[in-house]
Amino acid sequence: MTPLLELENVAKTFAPVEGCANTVLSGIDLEIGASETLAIVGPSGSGKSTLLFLLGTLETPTTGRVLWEGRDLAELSTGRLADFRNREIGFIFQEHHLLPQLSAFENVLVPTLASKAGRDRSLLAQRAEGLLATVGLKDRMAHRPAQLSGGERQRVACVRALINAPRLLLADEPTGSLDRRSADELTDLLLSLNESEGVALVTVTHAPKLAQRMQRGFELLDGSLCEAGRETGT
Amino acid sequence: MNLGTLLGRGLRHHARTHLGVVGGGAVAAATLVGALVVGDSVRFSLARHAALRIGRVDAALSAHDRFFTQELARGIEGELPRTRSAAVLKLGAVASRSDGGARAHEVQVLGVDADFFALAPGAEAPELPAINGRLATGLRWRSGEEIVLRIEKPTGIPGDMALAVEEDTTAPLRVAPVAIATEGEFGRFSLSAGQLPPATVFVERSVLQEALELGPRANLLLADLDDGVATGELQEALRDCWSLADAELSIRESGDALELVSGRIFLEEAVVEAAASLERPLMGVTTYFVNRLAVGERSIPYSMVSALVAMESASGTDGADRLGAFAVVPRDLAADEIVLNDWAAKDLAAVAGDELTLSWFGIGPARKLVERQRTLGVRGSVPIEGLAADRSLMPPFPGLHDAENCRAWEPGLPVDLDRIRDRDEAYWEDYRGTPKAFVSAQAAREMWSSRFGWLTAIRTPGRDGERFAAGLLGVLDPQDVGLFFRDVRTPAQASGTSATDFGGLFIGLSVFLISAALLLTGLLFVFGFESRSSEVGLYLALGFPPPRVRRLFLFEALVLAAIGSGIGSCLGLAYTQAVLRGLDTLWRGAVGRATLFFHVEPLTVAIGALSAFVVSTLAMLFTLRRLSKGSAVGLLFSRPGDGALWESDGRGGVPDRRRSRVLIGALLIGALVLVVRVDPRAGLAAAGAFFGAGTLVLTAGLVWTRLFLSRPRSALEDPRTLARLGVKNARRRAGRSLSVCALMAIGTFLVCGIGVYRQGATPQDAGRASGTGGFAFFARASVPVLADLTVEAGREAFGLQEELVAGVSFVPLRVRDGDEASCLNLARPQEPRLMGVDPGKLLRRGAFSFADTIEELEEPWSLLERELSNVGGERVVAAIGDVTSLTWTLKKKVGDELKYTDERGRPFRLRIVAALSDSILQGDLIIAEERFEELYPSESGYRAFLIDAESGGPAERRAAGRELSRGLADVGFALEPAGRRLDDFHAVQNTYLSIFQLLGGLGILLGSAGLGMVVLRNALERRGELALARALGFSPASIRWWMASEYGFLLLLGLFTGAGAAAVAIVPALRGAGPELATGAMALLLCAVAANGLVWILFATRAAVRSAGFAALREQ
Repeated sequence: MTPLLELENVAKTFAPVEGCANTVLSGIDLEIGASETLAIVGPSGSGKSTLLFLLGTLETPTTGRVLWEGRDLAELSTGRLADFRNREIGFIFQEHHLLPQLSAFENVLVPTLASKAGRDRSLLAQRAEGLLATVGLKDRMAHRPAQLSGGERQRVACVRALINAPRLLLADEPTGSLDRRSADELTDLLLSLNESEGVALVTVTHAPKLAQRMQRGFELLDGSLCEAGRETGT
Repeated sequence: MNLGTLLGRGLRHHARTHLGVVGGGAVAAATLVGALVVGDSVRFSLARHAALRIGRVDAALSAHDRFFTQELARGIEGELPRTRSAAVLKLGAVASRSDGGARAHEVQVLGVDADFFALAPGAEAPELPAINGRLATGLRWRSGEEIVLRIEKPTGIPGDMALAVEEDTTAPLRVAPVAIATEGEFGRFSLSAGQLPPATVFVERSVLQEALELGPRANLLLADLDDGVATGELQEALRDCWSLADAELSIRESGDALELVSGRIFLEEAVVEAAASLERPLMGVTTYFVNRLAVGERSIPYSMVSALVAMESASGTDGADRLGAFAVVPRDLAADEIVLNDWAAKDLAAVAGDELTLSWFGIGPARKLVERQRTLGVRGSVPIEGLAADRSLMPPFPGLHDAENCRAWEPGLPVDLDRIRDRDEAYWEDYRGTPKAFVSAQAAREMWSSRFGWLTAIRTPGRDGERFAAGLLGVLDPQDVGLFFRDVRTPAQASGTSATDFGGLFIGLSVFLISAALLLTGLLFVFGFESRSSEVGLYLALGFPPPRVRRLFLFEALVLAAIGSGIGSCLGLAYTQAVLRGLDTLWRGAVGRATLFFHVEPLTVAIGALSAFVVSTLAMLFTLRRLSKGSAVGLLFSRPGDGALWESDGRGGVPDRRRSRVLIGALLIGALVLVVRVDPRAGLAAAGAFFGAGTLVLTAGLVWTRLFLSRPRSALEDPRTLARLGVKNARRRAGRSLSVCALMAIGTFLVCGIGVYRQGATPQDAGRASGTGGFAFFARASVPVLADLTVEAGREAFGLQEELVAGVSFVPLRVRDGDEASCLNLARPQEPRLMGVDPGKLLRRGAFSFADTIEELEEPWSLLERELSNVGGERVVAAIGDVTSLTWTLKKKVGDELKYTDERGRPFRLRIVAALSDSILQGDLIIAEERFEELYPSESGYRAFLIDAESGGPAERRAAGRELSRGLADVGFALEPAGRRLDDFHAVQNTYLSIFQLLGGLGILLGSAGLGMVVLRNALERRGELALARALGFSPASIRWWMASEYGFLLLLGLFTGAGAAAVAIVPALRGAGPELATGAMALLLCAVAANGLVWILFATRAAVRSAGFAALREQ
């Protein structure tokens, strides 16, 4: 069965500083199946976020390929890639990145404005409402980010990531800026959404508790990715 | 939720940030709309002035020194029943208060009746006598006071004829005005384009006619045409209703013959030709007043000599025969023969074959009386009988024909009454002006022909005067004797548009202010935009395509631009009011004291607002152009000011150093070539060189600055001092730094460079090549001066004290009234005033210098004497004008032509053959006097003078000027120092420069505010960095010094670049004879700009350092 997303021998090198090449990732091979949950852990600066952004098409690999259901994403134009990202991928960042001028409900709907495709706005609104209710924010929908707690903001960000019903949810340190209780609640939420929405979940985290609850676990060390028990790159 | 909501929420949320953007846009819009509405107001004011000065008049017949019957107006109305016309007596005068306290020159005295005021804009009539507001102000007239007029006295014959009376050319008239004519009452009446009405006195026509002993005559006919009637039809109507009296012709009976004579003494060629075309036998007569008839030692003083001319007409050549001419002179009288009457032959003891010398006065160049002589052989003598005894052969010479005795003669010629003997007196008593001798037609023509004609009468047998008159009127065209209508409405409407597009001019003057406002708008927008970089990153991360993100911000920019333009448009109207107020007070010199009315055209405001909207949007879009190159991740995790938005192609916008250096070299070479090659006296080209060279050097400077700011930084270099660290930091945000530098550089260049073009006071001893031509004075006379001021007798005629004016020399100029073409006139001149001069006089002096000539010549004044080939059947006459008038007011250059109409209504062209450099001759076009006389034969005397007083010092010059003003007061001699006249013209230029500098200064202020904002913004972005510096032990003062050195460096870079550009650009000005380098003023300006910039920097750094508390460290 074709994996949902696949990295083939991917490397990422950034512009040299003072003449020294800055290779962050090298020889990464990774397959992510539909509805699968993965955790990527590693020390600071190991390239976890870079790997996540490669998965989310926010970065392009220096070498290697990123395949979506077997199709090389490098073949897509910038516009098509943006459209693909809008439809198929949801992002949750450590910082919630909610727009301060919008309410929770409106923030959730922002991704639906990215494409011109005619969509039933009332259905989208219903979905936003439903999702916000699911994450316990039914009464907080009209609140602005400044009026929400950190955990609530992050839940709004989760809902925003799911509004377009993506098949892959990427979370970058989603609990990094939360207290333990909020972090646990968010972990529960992510896993329940994975289950209810059937969305694959890849999370980059420092939190062992969160990593342990994922189906698969990877560690990124010196640019190489090791799955629990085996190494996938050098 | 839709994009609109997103947009609206964004705008509201960032309202405070947007306030500055809207403010910048509003300033740009206010300046733009304000400038355009200034244009509207000037256009409206000029159109209003034009409408008020001509009222309901559509066409005018201006006969100048010819006087037609006032009944002609009724005749026109009879031919064209729905046309209203008015006969006006219009004369030049000088007016003074009865207590002598004030005097007004170039006053127009209008003898009018109710018909005239029926044509006024309001069809209202003031009580007469009345004066207009300008005269009332000029004379400080108060109700009930009398004013004394010295009015140009119509002499009946052209003043340039030798026999014209030179003295007493004015008649006094005391009037007690009872009203000031309002605008609706023709208070601005004038047929010449200009924003200022001439000083005017309105009196009853009959009163004026009586005072001038003129009879029921007028010299200006105004017509209000019925709809659909063209000026051509009016001329047809004139042809149908005019009479010989309107051409100052009359037919009188002389025995069995009729005699056609002219009130102007000589019959014009057109009249002679018309008569010759009739089927009537004709005999021409010419009689001239000669000084002496001498044979050997014997002579007879002051006599009439005639010629009886056998004229060829349609009926043959037997007129002279039938009228008995050959009973007086032999048919074969040769050109070198003369026949005396018995009295003269006896007095001279002359017999056939004797040599007789005939002396007479003729008019030489510059209206000089020249005594001429001719030797003739005495053919014989005739008895004083028949035609030889006809006293009427003498025309009505003024001062002679009605004199009771010879001692009472007052001809316009110098007559030595002591030479008149008793027997001469007896002859006058017996025979009056009966000719004492007869010469042939050829001799008479050769001796006495002038531009006014040569025959004094035409005789024809018969007593059918009416038939003769009808025949003449059938073939003579009124136009041939200078009676023709011209359309005044079309030129007035055309003159109602400004010679200078004030809208464009003020946009030009405000361009830097607008640019500064736009730069500020762009900067503030980009600051606001940068503070939202993570928002951009989020959109990209969420799958918004970059164009959609750009569009989102574009919409925001559009809304901000629209709000700014809307607010700015309202402010623009206030700006216009302020500018008009300035033009009415401080800057009055720029608009020639015109009254300007505030006027708004909604379309103009819409255009201004739309333009401001577009340029503001473009300024903002410029900042968005590289947005798509930013990476979503970089943006998402960026902080304001870290440049994530502008991450680009890897080269980071670093310019190619080699190419940049080549470009700098090329730009500097181009600038040098421009300043070295351009002729500093060539109006537009010199201005072009200033801006061209300045722009090239500025661009070179900014390319270098960009190169410097983007020089790769060594990460391992020790900055050693805080100042060096500051300079290094200036490179951090090269784009912003370059913008600020560019703004300061352009501002410095414009404000300092333009300042050099301010004209200082003209020195009293300016040389002959200068704008004064080396002349001490320029004078205009309200009434033509006929006497020759270059000779003692002429000066005596005006009672001038010889010891005061002995060293004074004159270059007299003839003047044909027209539109003022100097920069003092806002209206677009249609037919500029013409002056006729003897080019030799200026050529010999080497007076003035030339900005351009049609061909390379050592002595360009001689170009005026060139005979140019006709074009399209029209005569072409060479003309010279001042380069300023030509370029800016007339929009002409050397080689261009202007269309004119001569005195007889014949079109001709003036071709500009040379342009004078910045001179006192602005406002007029100059042609050769000889051509002037041919085109305008009846314009007699001189009304303008270039006056030199080389022999004395300043005190003597002043004394001579005072004496001339005193002696020639009756002819309204308005004398002004040539230097002051030039300074008055310069005042216009200086005023524009002041406006430019003021607006430029505002631009610099705005630019400096931009600099302050950049400093503040950068400092805020670096709060953590500054807080760290404090944590490391730097004092607030040292941090301020660090920051100030960073931005002071940018300020200095801008100042040096601008000053360098100005220094190169002014080279042509320094090479020219024109302005002196105002280095002091320039240095002062530079210091002011620098100080202003420093104040903003210090203000911003102080604010930034205050905000850089230790709390900011947490943000790092």
